[in-house]
Amino acid sequence: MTSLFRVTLRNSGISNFLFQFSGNNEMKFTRTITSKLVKEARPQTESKPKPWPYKEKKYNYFHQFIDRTSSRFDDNSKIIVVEGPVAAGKSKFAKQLADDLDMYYLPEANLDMYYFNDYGFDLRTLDDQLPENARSFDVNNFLMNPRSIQSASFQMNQYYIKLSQYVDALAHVLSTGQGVVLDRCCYSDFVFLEAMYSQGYVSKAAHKKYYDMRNETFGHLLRPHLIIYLDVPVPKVQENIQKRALSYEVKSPALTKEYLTEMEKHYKQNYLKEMSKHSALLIYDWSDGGDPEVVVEDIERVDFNRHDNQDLKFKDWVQHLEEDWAYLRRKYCNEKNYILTLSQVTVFDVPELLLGPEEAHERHELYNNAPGNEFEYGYNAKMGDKNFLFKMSAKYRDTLPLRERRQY
Amino acid sequence: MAGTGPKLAQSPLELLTEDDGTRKPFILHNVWGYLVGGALCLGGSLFATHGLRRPLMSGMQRTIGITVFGALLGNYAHERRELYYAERDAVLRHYVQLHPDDFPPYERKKFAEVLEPWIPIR
Repeated sequence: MTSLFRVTLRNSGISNFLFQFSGNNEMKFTRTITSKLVKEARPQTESKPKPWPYKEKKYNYFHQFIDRTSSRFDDNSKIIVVEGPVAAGKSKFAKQLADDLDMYYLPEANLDMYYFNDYGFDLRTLDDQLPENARSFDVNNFLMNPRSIQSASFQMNQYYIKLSQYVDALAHVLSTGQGVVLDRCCYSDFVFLEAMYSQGYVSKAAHKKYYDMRNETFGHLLRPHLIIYLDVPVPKVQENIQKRALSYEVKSPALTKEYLTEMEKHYKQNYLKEMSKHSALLIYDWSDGGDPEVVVEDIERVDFNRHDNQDLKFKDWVQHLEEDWAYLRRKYCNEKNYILTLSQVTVFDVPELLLGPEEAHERHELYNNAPGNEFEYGYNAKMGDKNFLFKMSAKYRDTLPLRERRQY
Repeated sequence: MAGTGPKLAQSPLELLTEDDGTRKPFILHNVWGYLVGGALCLGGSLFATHGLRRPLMSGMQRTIGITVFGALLGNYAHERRELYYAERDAVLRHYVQLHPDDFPPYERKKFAEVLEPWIPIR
């Protein structure tokens, strides 16, 4: 509403006039992502404000008047997602890419981030005290036992944790101006669901519920700038799995040729097709690996500043007013829980997503009395917290830890 | 049995006079507001701490602050109530003083004089 009454110089032509005299126009760089090497060679002209410590400090309404979100943005304030089939070498590549571009690497969201609490206690160790269907269920459980009744809720949890991570990624970009490299994201999570559905691991009702949840939360996010797809043909994927030699992957009854083919099909025909309208897309044949530096060169050639009112590409990231950015930043930093709560869709009609009251109560009691879960973080005397007699503060947001998936 | 028990008021005016010796105030009368207000707010504050999943012995400055505030608030309410009834009694007393004819001193009667004879009708 404010924008209606606001008088700006933006559309008046005066701004262009002023711009001619503001600064050095002799050298012009294309505005695109630059690698660390190029950045170091380039003379530093403008200084950015320090990164906002968004994990500890709340960005409230009044901060926007002293701390402008766009002042931290530069060419590298982008979100890059690395996608690809199982065992394609995504994490290694993404880590290398983040290093080359001086970006923030977020490891693939996994349920370890959920099952380990803030004090590092593993809730899965309580499994033997719980009834069968209330136990933890992680990727390795799914791969060994895909026909379990918990497969559907596992897939919902996977989406939830990826969503949580993506909100963190957005908060990071807006608060620090540093770009983020993600290893898979919530947008691509449905390819797993489709593969599971094709093999009959999840029911039709659960399949629909998943999309309900996805549609509830979708509109609140900004799509990534760039998607890098590492293409590996299915036989090669199977070979890679054997080579990686993770016991639960090698012996898995789930990772069949059909499953992997279905995954590839949905990756290419649904995900990439849909996302290429909104994001830049780079696809590489990664059958025998590849050189991240070549990819960096290609990324440097992509023009991220191109946008058009009629074109959807990068449109999510076109915000005209400073307060629009401030609004988004408050949403991703402060109201993360609101977005996550939207994913809790009502389920009455899908038995596999429901847990009986006795089991739910038992798990609730057990998890809430687990070491470190008894009280809020910072208030557990049993875990060594001290001096909280006069303490009132608490974490204002739950930022996911940077925890790689355990491989055993 | 004469002389035991509370003194009885002789007239309506005496009944409306404070400290007429007819009744004794409750022993906690003067601290009642502090106690009730303080206790309610202390309980509420501890309940909130529990609801925030924190040990009860944490954030003591908040608990103490809320309790003190609650005690003062309770006393304020108590004083307001006292003032209200004092004013009401003063108005009534004044009215009784202005119209002494309408409020003669109480007549001491025996129950025999009060009760009417009961005549069963069958």
